[in-house]
Amino acid sequence: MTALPASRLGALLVAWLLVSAAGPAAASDYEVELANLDRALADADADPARRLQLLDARASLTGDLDDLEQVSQLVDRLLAISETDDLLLQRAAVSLELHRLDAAAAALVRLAQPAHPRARQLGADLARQRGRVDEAQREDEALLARGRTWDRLARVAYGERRRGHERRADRLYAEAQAELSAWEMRRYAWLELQRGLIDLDRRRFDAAVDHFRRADRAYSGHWLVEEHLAEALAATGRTEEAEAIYRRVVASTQHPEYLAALADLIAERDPQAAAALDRQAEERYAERFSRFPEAVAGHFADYLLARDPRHPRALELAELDHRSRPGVDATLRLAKVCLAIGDAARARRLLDQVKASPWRPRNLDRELRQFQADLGARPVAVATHARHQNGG
Amino acid sequence: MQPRDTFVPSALLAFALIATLFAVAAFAADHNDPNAVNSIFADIAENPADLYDMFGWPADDRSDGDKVVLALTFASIPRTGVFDTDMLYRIRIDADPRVGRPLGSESEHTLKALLRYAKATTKKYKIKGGQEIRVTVDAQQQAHVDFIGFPGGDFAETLALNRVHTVRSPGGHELELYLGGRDDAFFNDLPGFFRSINYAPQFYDVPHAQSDRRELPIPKTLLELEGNDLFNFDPAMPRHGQGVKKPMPPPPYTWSGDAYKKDANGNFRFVYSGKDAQAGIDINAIIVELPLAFITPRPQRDRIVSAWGESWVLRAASKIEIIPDDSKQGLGSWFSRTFGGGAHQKQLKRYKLVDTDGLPFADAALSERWDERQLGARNLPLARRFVIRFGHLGWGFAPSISALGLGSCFDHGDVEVPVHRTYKLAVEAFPRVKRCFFQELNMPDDSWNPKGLDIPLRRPFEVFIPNVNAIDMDTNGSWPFGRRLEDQVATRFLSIFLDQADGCGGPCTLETLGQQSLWDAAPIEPKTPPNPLHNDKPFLSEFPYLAEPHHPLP
Repeated sequence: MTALPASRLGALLVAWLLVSAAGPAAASDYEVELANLDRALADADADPARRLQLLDARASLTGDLDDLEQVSQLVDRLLAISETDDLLLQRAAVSLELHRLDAAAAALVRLAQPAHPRARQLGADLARQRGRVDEAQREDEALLARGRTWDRLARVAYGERRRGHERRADRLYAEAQAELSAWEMRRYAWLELQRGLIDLDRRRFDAAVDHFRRADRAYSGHWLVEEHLAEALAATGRTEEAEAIYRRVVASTQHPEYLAALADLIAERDPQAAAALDRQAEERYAERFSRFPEAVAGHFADYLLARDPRHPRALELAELDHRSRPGVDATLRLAKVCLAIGDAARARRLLDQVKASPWRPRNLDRELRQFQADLGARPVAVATHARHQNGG
Repeated sequence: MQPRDTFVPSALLAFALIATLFAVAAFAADHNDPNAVNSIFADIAENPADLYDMFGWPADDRSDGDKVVLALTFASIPRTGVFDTDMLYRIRIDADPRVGRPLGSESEHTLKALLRYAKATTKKYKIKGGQEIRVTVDAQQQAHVDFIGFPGGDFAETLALNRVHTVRSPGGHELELYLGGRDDAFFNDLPGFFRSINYAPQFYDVPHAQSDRRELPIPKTLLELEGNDLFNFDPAMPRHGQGVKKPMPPPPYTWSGDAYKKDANGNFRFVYSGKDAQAGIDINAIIVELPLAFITPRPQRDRIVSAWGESWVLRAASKIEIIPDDSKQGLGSWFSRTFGGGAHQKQLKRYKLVDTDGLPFADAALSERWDERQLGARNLPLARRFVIRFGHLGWGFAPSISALGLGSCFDHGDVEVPVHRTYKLAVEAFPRVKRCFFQELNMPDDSWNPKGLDIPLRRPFEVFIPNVNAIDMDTNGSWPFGRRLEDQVATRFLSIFLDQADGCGGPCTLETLGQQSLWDAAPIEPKTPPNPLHNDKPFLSEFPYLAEPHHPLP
């Protein structure tokens, strides 16, 4: 064995001492909460109701599809024993999160008390996901008129943000934050995240960074806040910091979206590593899609649109997503795929639907400009493609 | 790289909408909780804002002048003897002369006069002003205690938790303080009370959001109702409602019977067990012993010390301001130390009110624990609500009192079995409850009045309005002239439904229902007073009076 040079040994020793003196890094709020949940879950095997409550809390924290599926399966088992409104509401909620809209609707119609505020909220969510955004907004506003709780404020704020009414959206989010106590820092962080998304929509990246940092201070270590922070930092050119955060998020979630985002970030600097990340992302998307088609189709389609709009799976995915959730985001996605594969007529029809909606997908104006440009170029491209198809 | 629209509405909402607090197996120890912090709900954990009791009585030792003892107790969260650093507690205090008897003549026993009395009393309790002891605790578990509005001037102290302190005020008065963990001094069959009002969250897993599954539309009662299987004692599950809950069954949640449940010997089944549901439980407390002369410059005149407690929690927006960029350590209310005067109001704006506590059972029984009714001394707008509520309770408790051969002040006509009756208007309920509201509450003996002064007995309307602990310094502070640790206030509350003048073969007293001999002679099982007669641990004869906690202090 070759001995290390004294200077390097010395440096290592100093580094070791410094790390030892510093002690272990403090766990983030997210890590602490997750660990507490997992400990409680380990003790809750014999109590299905408690287990459901804990699994639900875990799924809401991680956003993980497997966690949501566990909730879904346990709800089904408990519903088979006794059909209560509580369980039906949970079935509806988890089905919405998994984009299984028919299952959500089926649960809601079985409620003994369909007028319960929670049932009405879920009904509004269902309408929203089905593209009936005005109906959803009316219901959310009606519930808000009955009581300005933080969640009702947030729902209406979200609708306002999607309509481009950013000032009212921000005011409502701020009002929701004012309702919260120090025991609700995760909710506060989520609302701060929403306020940052308003800035992100408008490409006010520095302001978005401020919001996301504040959200992280309120509740540290949450992947959802961190990945948005990374996105905003990257947009402002702070790529090193963005990369570090993305790597952390990827390590924690293994989510293909963040693998792809990291790949995009490092592509110029390290194309080989980026390509490897992309392969991992595509594999993960494919695997997740096989198990959760409705929940993953749209995200997978977005990934392919960014890499290869003419990917053979892009249309299938976009169409499945649109069938599952025919809202403006899925419609725009499908329009992009149609345009990419040369179906300009269908792309135009879909785009008209997007333009007719009161909801604004992010960067809609830029998307529309790009669309117009592509449609203008499209007749030649379509003809060329058709020639190739016909062997010409 | 272009920013992506990663928004997934329902997933993100779900991220936030699930409660971050986890249910704990213990049932609620408090009888006064606003629902949002009431751990009786399946999805609400125990909470340091959960106020339990506001004890208060004149100190027995008067050799050094009149002193008053005040003890505000609350949930021992995060643990016994450790205070939550996001909390702010207030003990509000007001000293006044003993006034002449309001609404003394029978001609004044009207709803209109009652509401006028309530309105007139409102003016005394303003949001601003008055005296208070305000407590916050920092990350090092040092208590920062502000004495605000007292005659000698404002001052502050920083004190360690879990030990007795003697503090000298600017005016030279010696104050005793204890902030820390103690044994829960409240001894009570709380599950029995909840059984009597058919309160589902005590017996079933009911989430906080399900506001329609709290007091189910089944008659209130002291005696079990035949067929009320949702709440009647089940020998196969004896601990149901005493720490054990079942999943909520599907509706209906009504009762269509018409008889009391009786055993083979013809005995009624008591909804109460007489067991102490608080045995073995610890609380955290702020306990003070204050010279009356510290509270008022006219201690000879101002013989009524009114006190109530409040819990406030730091607003999230305020917390983020004190979270440093690189670390997350609660800095507590350090800023309050450097300010005086108006800074106290500014400090309070950083918090939001969660719970209030004045009288036992004023909230639990009469305000139904609704969050928006947590007004403390400012519960005067609820006066109408009390009449309506009392009317509703009366249709349950009064027939069951009469079934035991006792007389009730509530006019239930010829109704022999409880009925579920509600009122929309106080004017409809008032004729039924009038006698209850205005009758004098007989004390069990003369020990309450050691000086033998001409102090009128209190009547329910002046006890419950306002919701404060009004301590008469010329008495021994036994409820309702204060609240001593040994008072069995839950049983005394039930006694309010007795015809105090003539319901017991002669007068009843506040201790009638606490007498074993009454239950021995009654056709009922179990033969026990509704609530335990003593605390599980003996109280101390010296400050801080509440017994040592069960769990070790830090």
